[in-house]
Amino acid sequence: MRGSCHGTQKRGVTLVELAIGVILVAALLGITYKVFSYITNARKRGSVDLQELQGARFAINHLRRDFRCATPFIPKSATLAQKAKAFEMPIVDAKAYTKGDVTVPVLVSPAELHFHRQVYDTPDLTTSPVLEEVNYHIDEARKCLIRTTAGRELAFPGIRNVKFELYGHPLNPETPMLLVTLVVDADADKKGPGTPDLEITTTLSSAVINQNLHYRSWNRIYY
Amino acid sequence: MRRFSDRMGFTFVEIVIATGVALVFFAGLIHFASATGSETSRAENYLRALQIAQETIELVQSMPVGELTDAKLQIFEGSLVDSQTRQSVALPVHPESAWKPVTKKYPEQYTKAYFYRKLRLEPLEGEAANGRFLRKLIVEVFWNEGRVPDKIDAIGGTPDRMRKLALATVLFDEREYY
Repeated sequence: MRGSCHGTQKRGVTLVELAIGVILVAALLGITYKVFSYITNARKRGSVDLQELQGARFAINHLRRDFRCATPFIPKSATLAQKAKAFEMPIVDAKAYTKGDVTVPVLVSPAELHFHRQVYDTPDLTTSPVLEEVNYHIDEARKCLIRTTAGRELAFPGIRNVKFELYGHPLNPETPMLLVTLVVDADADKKGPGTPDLEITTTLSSAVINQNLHYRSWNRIYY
Repeated sequence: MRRFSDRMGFTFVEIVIATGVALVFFAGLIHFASATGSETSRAENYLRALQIAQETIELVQSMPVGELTDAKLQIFEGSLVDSQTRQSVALPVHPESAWKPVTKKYPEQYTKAYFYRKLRLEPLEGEAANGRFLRKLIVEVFWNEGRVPDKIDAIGGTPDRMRKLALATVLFDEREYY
Protein backbone atom coordinates (compact mmCIF):
# COMPACT_ATOMS: atom_id res chain seq x y z
CA MET A 1 0.00 0.00 0.00
CA ARG A 2 2.81 2.32 0.81
CA GLY A 3 4.13 1.89 -2.69
CA SER A 4 0.74 2.57 -4.20
CA CYS A 5 0.41 5.68 -2.10
CA HIS A 6 3.70 7.02 -3.44
CA GLY A 7 2.01 8.64 -6.44
CA THR A 8 -0.50 10.47 -4.33
CA GLN A 9 2.34 12.19 -2.47
CA LYS A 10 3.29 14.13 -5.66
CA ARG A 11 1.77 17.53 -5.66
CA GLY A 12 -0.50 18.31 -8.61
CA VAL A 13 -0.92 21.58 -10.49
CA THR A 14 -3.08 24.19 -8.85
CA LEU A 15 -5.68 26.14 -10.75
CA VAL A 16 -3.66 29.36 -10.42
CA GLU A 17 -0.54 27.69 -11.85
CA LEU A 18 -2.56 26.22 -14.67
CA ALA A 19 -4.11 29.60 -15.45
CA ILE A 20 -0.71 31.34 -15.45
CA GLY A 21 0.72 28.61 -17.66
CA VAL A 22 -2.13 28.92 -20.15
CA ILE A 23 -1.75 32.72 -20.24
CA LEU A 24 2.00 32.45 -20.82
CA VAL A 25 1.57 29.93 -23.64
CA ALA A 26 -1.13 32.08 -25.22
CA ALA A 27 1.10 35.17 -25.01
CA LEU A 28 4.02 33.28 -26.53
CA LEU A 29 1.85 31.96 -29.36
CA GLY A 30 0.48 35.47 -29.93
CA ILE A 31 3.98 36.98 -30.18
CA THR A 32 5.10 34.19 -32.51
CA TYR A 33 2.06 34.75 -34.73
CA LYS A 34 2.72 38.51 -34.86
CA VAL A 35 6.37 38.02 -35.77
CA PHE A 36 5.53 35.48 -38.45
CA SER A 37 2.81 37.63 -39.98
CA TYR A 38 5.17 40.65 -40.01
CA ILE A 39 7.84 38.61 -41.77
CA THR A 40 5.38 37.14 -44.26
CA ASN A 41 4.14 40.66 -45.12
CA ALA A 42 7.69 41.98 -45.41
CA ARG A 43 8.58 39.14 -47.73
CA LYS A 44 5.52 39.74 -49.87
CA ARG A 45 6.10 43.48 -49.94
CA GLY A 46 9.75 43.04 -50.81
CA SER A 47 8.92 40.72 -53.64
CA VAL A 48 6.25 43.07 -54.99
CA ASP A 49 8.67 46.00 -54.77
CA LEU A 50 11.27 44.18 -56.79
CA GLN A 51 8.70 43.12 -59.35
CA GLU A 52 7.46 46.68 -59.71
CA LEU A 53 11.03 47.95 -59.98
CA GLN A 54 11.64 45.49 -62.77
CA GLY A 55 8.50 46.83 -64.44
CA ALA A 56 9.80 50.39 -64.07
CA ARG A 57 13.11 49.44 -65.66
CA PHE A 58 11.20 47.77 -68.50
CA ALA A 59 9.15 50.94 -69.08
CA ILE A 60 12.18 53.27 -68.97
CA ASN A 61 14.06 51.05 -71.42
CA HIS A 62 11.13 51.19 -73.83
CA LEU A 63 10.85 54.97 -73.49
CA ARG A 64 14.58 55.51 -73.94
CA ARG A 65 14.86 53.22 -76.97
CA ASP A 66 11.77 54.73 -78.64
CA PHE A 67 12.63 58.35 -77.95
CA ARG A 68 16.29 57.93 -78.97
CA CYS A 69 15.20 57.93 -82.62
CA ALA A 70 12.20 60.26 -82.29
CA THR A 71 11.71 62.63 -85.20
CA PRO A 72 9.06 65.04 -86.46
CA PHE A 73 6.89 63.64 -89.23
CA ILE A 74 7.62 65.46 -92.49
CA PRO A 75 5.67 64.18 -95.52
CA LYS A 76 7.08 64.44 -99.02
CA SER A 77 4.19 66.74 -99.91
CA ALA A 78 5.37 69.37 -97.39
CA THR A 79 6.75 72.62 -98.79
CA LEU A 80 10.35 73.61 -98.13
CA ALA A 81 9.14 76.23 -95.66
CA GLN A 82 7.12 73.62 -93.78
CA LYS A 83 10.08 71.25 -93.74
CA ALA A 84 12.40 73.97 -92.47
CA LYS A 85 9.93 74.90 -89.73
CA ALA A 86 9.64 71.25 -88.69
CA PHE A 87 13.43 71.05 -88.32
CA GLU A 88 13.59 74.32 -86.40
CA MET A 89 10.82 73.29 -83.99
CA PRO A 90 11.01 69.51 -83.79
CA ILE A 91 9.39 69.26 -80.35
CA VAL A 92 6.47 71.31 -79.11
CA ASP A 93 4.19 71.55 -76.14
CA ALA A 94 1.04 69.63 -77.11
CA LYS A 95 -1.18 72.47 -75.89
CA ALA A 96 0.46 74.91 -78.31
CA TYR A 97 0.23 72.62 -81.34
CA THR A 98 -2.24 73.54 -84.07
CA LYS A 99 -3.71 70.63 -85.98
CA GLY A 100 -3.95 70.99 -89.72
CA ASP A 101 -0.29 71.60 -90.37
CA VAL A 102 1.22 69.09 -92.81
CA THR A 103 4.15 68.24 -90.58
CA VAL A 104 3.73 66.75 -87.12
CA PRO A 105 6.33 67.58 -84.46
CA VAL A 106 7.05 65.50 -81.37
CA LEU A 107 4.18 66.38 -79.03
CA VAL A 108 4.79 66.56 -75.31
CA SER A 109 2.14 67.12 -72.65
CA PRO A 110 2.42 66.30 -68.94
CA ALA A 111 0.49 63.02 -69.24
CA GLU A 112 1.06 62.08 -72.88
CA LEU A 113 3.92 61.73 -75.33
CA HIS A 114 3.26 61.39 -79.05
CA PHE A 115 5.93 61.10 -81.72
CA HIS A 116 7.22 59.31 -84.81
CA ARG A 117 10.38 57.28 -84.61
CA GLN A 118 12.75 55.88 -87.16
CA VAL A 119 12.39 52.10 -87.20
CA TYR A 120 15.65 50.26 -86.55
CA ASP A 121 15.29 47.60 -89.21
CA THR A 122 14.77 49.93 -92.17
CA PRO A 123 15.41 47.77 -95.28
CA ASP A 124 18.57 48.41 -97.33
CA LEU A 125 18.32 50.69 -100.37
CA THR A 126 15.45 52.60 -98.77
CA THR A 127 15.88 56.31 -99.49
CA SER A 128 14.08 57.48 -96.36
CA PRO A 129 13.89 55.77 -92.98
CA VAL A 130 10.66 53.95 -92.22
CA LEU A 131 8.69 55.83 -89.57
CA GLU A 132 6.41 54.47 -86.90
CA GLU A 133 3.95 56.40 -84.75
CA VAL A 134 4.37 55.91 -80.99
CA ASN A 135 2.18 57.09 -78.14
CA TYR A 136 2.65 56.88 -74.37
CA HIS A 137 -0.14 57.87 -72.02
CA ILE A 138 -1.71 57.01 -68.68
CA ASP A 139 -4.88 54.95 -68.93
CA GLU A 140 -7.14 56.42 -66.25
CA ALA A 141 -9.36 53.33 -66.07
CA ARG A 142 -6.53 50.84 -65.66
CA LYS A 143 -4.28 53.32 -63.84
CA CYS A 144 -1.14 52.36 -65.69
CA LEU A 145 1.17 53.54 -68.48
CA ILE A 146 0.26 52.41 -72.00
CA ARG A 147 2.50 52.35 -75.07
CA THR A 148 0.71 52.21 -78.40
CA THR A 149 2.37 51.68 -81.76
CA ALA A 150 1.19 50.22 -85.06
CA GLY A 151 -2.12 49.22 -83.49
CA ARG A 152 -0.41 47.20 -80.77
CA GLU A 153 -0.75 48.09 -77.13
CA LEU A 154 1.69 47.42 -74.33
CA ALA A 155 0.69 48.07 -70.71
CA PHE A 156 3.12 48.76 -67.88
CA PRO A 157 0.98 47.80 -64.89
CA GLY A 158 3.36 49.01 -62.17
CA ILE A 159 3.55 52.59 -63.48
CA ARG A 160 0.72 54.38 -61.73
CA ASN A 161 1.52 57.86 -63.01
CA VAL A 162 3.93 59.62 -65.34
CA LYS A 163 4.96 63.20 -66.07
CA PHE A 164 6.64 64.33 -69.29
CA GLU A 165 8.34 67.75 -69.29
CA LEU A 166 10.64 69.55 -71.70
CA TYR A 167 13.69 71.53 -70.67
CA GLY A 168 16.58 73.20 -72.46
CA HIS A 169 19.98 71.54 -72.37
CA PRO A 170 22.18 73.31 -69.78
CA LEU A 171 24.82 74.05 -72.46
CA ASN A 172 22.40 75.04 -75.24
CA PRO A 173 18.90 76.35 -74.51
CA GLU A 174 17.58 75.29 -77.93
CA THR A 175 18.47 71.63 -77.50
CA PRO A 176 15.38 69.88 -76.16
CA MET A 177 15.67 67.34 -73.36
CA LEU A 178 12.73 65.29 -72.12
CA LEU A 179 12.37 64.87 -68.37
CA VAL A 180 10.36 61.78 -67.42
CA THR A 181 9.12 61.17 -63.88
CA LEU A 182 7.59 57.76 -63.23
CA VAL A 183 5.52 57.01 -60.14
CA VAL A 184 5.86 53.32 -59.40
CA ASP A 185 3.22 51.57 -57.32
CA ALA A 186 5.41 50.18 -54.55
CA ASP A 187 2.77 47.92 -53.09
CA ALA A 188 0.36 46.76 -55.78
CA ASP A 189 -1.51 44.39 -53.46
CA LYS A 190 -1.87 47.07 -50.77
CA LYS A 191 -0.85 44.62 -48.05
CA GLY A 192 1.99 46.60 -46.59
CA PRO A 193 1.50 49.29 -43.93
CA GLY A 194 1.38 52.48 -46.02
CA THR A 195 4.31 51.86 -48.36
CA PRO A 196 5.04 55.14 -50.22
CA ASP A 197 5.11 55.09 -54.02
CA LEU A 198 8.51 55.20 -55.65
CA GLU A 199 9.54 58.11 -57.86
CA ILE A 200 12.11 57.57 -60.57
CA THR A 201 13.21 60.38 -62.81
CA THR A 202 15.41 60.41 -65.89
CA THR A 203 16.21 62.48 -68.96
CA LEU A 204 15.78 61.29 -72.54
CA SER A 205 16.96 62.83 -75.78
CA SER A 206 16.56 62.15 -79.48
CA ALA A 207 19.78 61.62 -81.41
CA VAL A 208 17.92 62.30 -84.69
CA ILE A 209 16.53 65.66 -83.56
CA ASN A 210 19.78 66.82 -81.98
CA GLN A 211 21.78 65.88 -85.05
CA ASN A 212 19.46 67.92 -87.25
CA LEU A 213 19.62 70.88 -84.86
CA HIS A 214 23.41 70.92 -84.50
CA TYR A 215 24.40 70.17 -88.09
CA ARG A 216 21.89 72.13 -90.09
CA SER A 217 23.88 72.06 -93.31
CA TRP A 218 24.09 68.29 -93.54
CA ASN A 219 22.45 65.09 -92.41
CA ARG A 220 18.98 66.41 -93.05
CA ILE A 221 16.60 63.81 -94.35
CA TYR A 222 13.63 65.04 -96.33
CA TYR A 223 10.91 62.45 -96.29
CA MET B 1 9.19 23.34 4.34
CA ARG B 2 8.98 19.78 3.18
CA ARG B 3 6.24 20.62 0.74
CA PHE B 4 8.36 23.31 -0.94
CA SER B 5 11.43 21.10 -1.23
CA ASP B 6 9.39 18.39 -2.94
CA ARG B 7 8.10 20.70 -5.67
CA MET B 8 9.59 20.28 -9.13
CA GLY B 9 10.30 23.64 -10.83
CA PHE B 10 12.64 25.02 -13.47
CA THR B 11 16.24 25.46 -12.50
CA PHE B 12 18.08 28.70 -13.20
CA VAL B 13 20.17 27.01 -15.91
CA GLU B 14 17.03 25.76 -17.66
CA ILE B 15 15.51 29.23 -17.69
CA VAL B 16 18.71 30.78 -19.06
CA ILE B 17 18.95 28.17 -21.83
CA ALA B 18 15.27 28.56 -22.76
CA THR B 19 15.61 32.35 -22.87
CA GLY B 20 18.75 32.05 -25.02
CA VAL B 21 17.05 29.71 -27.48
CA ALA B 22 14.03 32.02 -27.73
CA LEU B 23 16.25 35.07 -28.30
CA VAL B 24 18.23 33.35 -31.05
CA PHE B 25 14.99 32.22 -32.70
CA PHE B 26 13.38 35.68 -32.71
CA ALA B 27 16.62 37.48 -33.64
CA GLY B 28 16.96 35.21 -36.66
CA LEU B 29 13.42 35.95 -37.78
CA ILE B 30 13.81 39.72 -37.36
CA HIS B 31 17.14 39.72 -39.17
CA PHE B 32 15.52 37.79 -42.02
CA ALA B 33 12.72 40.36 -42.26
CA SER B 34 15.03 43.40 -42.18
CA ALA B 35 17.37 41.84 -44.77
CA THR B 36 14.43 41.65 -47.17
CA GLY B 37 13.76 45.37 -46.74
CA SER B 38 17.38 46.37 -47.33
CA GLU B 39 17.58 44.18 -50.45
CA THR B 40 14.64 46.10 -51.91
CA SER B 41 16.24 49.42 -51.01
CA ARG B 42 19.50 48.38 -52.70
CA ALA B 43 17.62 47.49 -55.88
CA GLU B 44 15.85 50.89 -55.86
CA ASN B 45 19.10 52.79 -55.45
CA TYR B 46 20.81 50.74 -58.15
CA LEU B 47 18.01 51.51 -60.64
CA ARG B 48 18.17 55.22 -59.78
CA ALA B 49 21.96 55.27 -60.10
CA LEU B 50 21.71 53.57 -63.48
CA GLN B 51 19.22 56.18 -64.68
CA ILE B 52 21.42 59.03 -63.43
CA ALA B 53 24.38 57.57 -65.36
CA GLN B 54 22.32 57.02 -68.51
CA GLU B 55 20.82 60.51 -68.46
CA THR B 56 24.30 61.99 -68.01
CA ILE B 57 25.48 60.12 -71.09
CA GLU B 58 22.47 61.46 -73.02
CA LEU B 59 23.15 65.01 -71.83
CA VAL B 60 26.74 64.78 -73.08
CA GLN B 61 25.79 63.00 -76.31
CA SER B 62 23.29 65.75 -77.09
CA MET B 63 26.09 68.27 -77.66
CA PRO B 64 28.72 68.30 -80.41
CA VAL B 65 32.01 66.93 -79.06
CA GLY B 66 33.77 70.13 -80.11
CA GLU B 67 31.77 72.11 -77.56
CA LEU B 68 32.50 69.76 -74.66
CA THR B 69 35.31 71.35 -72.70
CA ASP B 70 36.33 70.23 -69.21
CA ALA B 71 34.90 73.45 -67.80
CA LYS B 72 31.51 72.81 -69.41
CA LEU B 73 31.41 69.20 -68.27
CA GLN B 74 31.93 70.40 -64.69
CA ILE B 75 28.27 71.41 -64.44
CA PHE B 76 27.27 67.74 -64.43
CA GLU B 77 29.68 66.83 -61.63
CA GLY B 78 29.03 66.80 -57.93
CA SER B 79 26.63 65.69 -55.24
CA LEU B 80 22.93 65.46 -56.02
CA VAL B 81 22.28 66.45 -52.40
CA ASP B 82 23.07 70.00 -51.31
CA SER B 83 25.64 69.88 -48.49
CA GLN B 84 24.02 72.85 -46.71
CA THR B 85 20.29 72.20 -47.00
CA ARG B 86 20.54 68.37 -47.29
CA GLN B 87 17.92 68.54 -50.05
CA SER B 88 18.06 67.51 -53.71
CA VAL B 89 19.98 69.86 -55.99
CA ALA B 90 18.34 71.58 -58.96
CA LEU B 91 18.17 69.80 -62.29
CA PRO B 92 20.69 71.08 -64.86
CA VAL B 93 18.19 73.21 -66.77
CA HIS B 94 19.24 76.13 -68.96
CA PRO B 95 17.74 79.26 -67.35
CA GLU B 96 17.16 81.02 -70.67
CA SER B 97 15.37 78.17 -72.39
CA ALA B 98 11.79 78.64 -73.59
CA TRP B 99 10.84 75.36 -71.92
CA LYS B 100 10.18 75.76 -68.21
CA PRO B 101 9.64 72.44 -66.44
CA VAL B 102 7.52 72.40 -63.31
CA THR B 103 9.90 69.86 -61.77
CA LYS B 104 12.94 71.76 -60.59
CA LYS B 105 14.82 69.14 -58.56
CA TYR B 106 15.44 65.44 -58.29
CA PRO B 107 12.74 63.75 -56.14
CA GLU B 108 13.27 64.02 -52.39
CA GLN B 109 13.38 60.21 -52.21
CA TYR B 110 16.80 60.47 -53.89
CA THR B 111 18.33 62.35 -50.96
CA LYS B 112 18.59 59.25 -48.74
CA ALA B 113 21.15 57.70 -51.09
CA TYR B 114 23.39 60.82 -51.37
CA PHE B 115 24.10 60.26 -55.06
CA TYR B 116 27.31 61.77 -56.42
CA ARG B 117 28.19 62.03 -60.12
CA LYS B 118 31.58 62.26 -61.83
CA LEU B 119 32.45 62.13 -65.52
CA ARG B 120 35.48 62.42 -67.77
CA LEU B 121 36.10 62.56 -71.49
CA GLU B 122 39.28 60.88 -72.72
CA PRO B 123 40.93 60.71 -76.14
CA LEU B 124 41.15 57.31 -77.83
CA GLU B 125 43.83 58.25 -80.34
CA GLY B 126 46.35 55.45 -80.67
CA GLU B 127 44.25 53.06 -78.59
CA ALA B 128 41.81 51.95 -81.25
CA ALA B 129 41.51 51.87 -85.02
CA ASN B 130 40.43 55.33 -86.21
CA GLY B 131 40.75 56.42 -82.59
CA ARG B 132 41.31 60.03 -83.59
CA PHE B 133 37.61 60.23 -84.48
CA LEU B 134 36.55 58.91 -81.10
CA ARG B 135 36.34 60.09 -77.50
CA LYS B 136 35.64 57.87 -74.54
CA LEU B 137 33.06 59.13 -72.03
CA ILE B 138 33.05 57.58 -68.55
CA VAL B 139 30.28 58.40 -66.09
CA GLU B 140 30.57 57.27 -62.47
CA VAL B 141 27.73 57.41 -59.97
CA PHE B 142 28.42 56.90 -56.27
CA TRP B 143 25.86 56.42 -53.52
CA ASN B 144 25.23 55.29 -49.94
CA GLU B 145 22.95 52.65 -48.42
CA GLY B 146 21.29 53.96 -45.27
CA ARG B 147 24.24 56.00 -44.06
CA VAL B 148 24.94 59.72 -44.03
CA PRO B 149 28.39 60.38 -45.55
CA ASP B 150 30.94 62.23 -43.44
CA LYS B 151 31.62 64.49 -46.42
CA ILE B 152 28.82 65.19 -48.88
CA ASP B 153 31.04 67.10 -51.32
CA ALA B 154 34.28 65.70 -52.74
CA ILE B 155 35.65 68.29 -55.14
CA GLY B 156 38.42 66.67 -57.14
CA GLY B 157 38.62 63.62 -54.87
CA THR B 158 36.92 60.29 -54.38
CA PRO B 159 33.43 60.72 -52.91
CA ASP B 160 32.76 59.32 -49.45
CA ARG B 161 30.18 56.76 -50.59
CA MET B 162 29.66 53.01 -50.22
CA ARG B 163 28.71 52.02 -53.75
CA LYS B 164 29.76 52.93 -57.27
CA LEU B 165 28.41 52.33 -60.77
CA ALA B 166 30.31 53.25 -63.95
CA LEU B 167 29.05 53.43 -67.53
CA ALA B 168 31.22 54.20 -70.54
CA THR B 169 30.48 54.97 -74.16
CA VAL B 170 32.27 56.25 -77.23
CA LEU B 171 31.47 59.59 -78.86
CA PHE B 172 32.21 60.49 -82.46
CA ASP B 173 34.20 63.66 -82.94
CA GLU B 174 32.86 65.10 -86.17
CA ARG B 175 35.53 67.85 -86.31
CA GLU B 176 38.20 65.39 -87.39
CA TYR B 177 38.87 65.34 -91.13
CA TYR B 178 38.96 62.13 -93.13
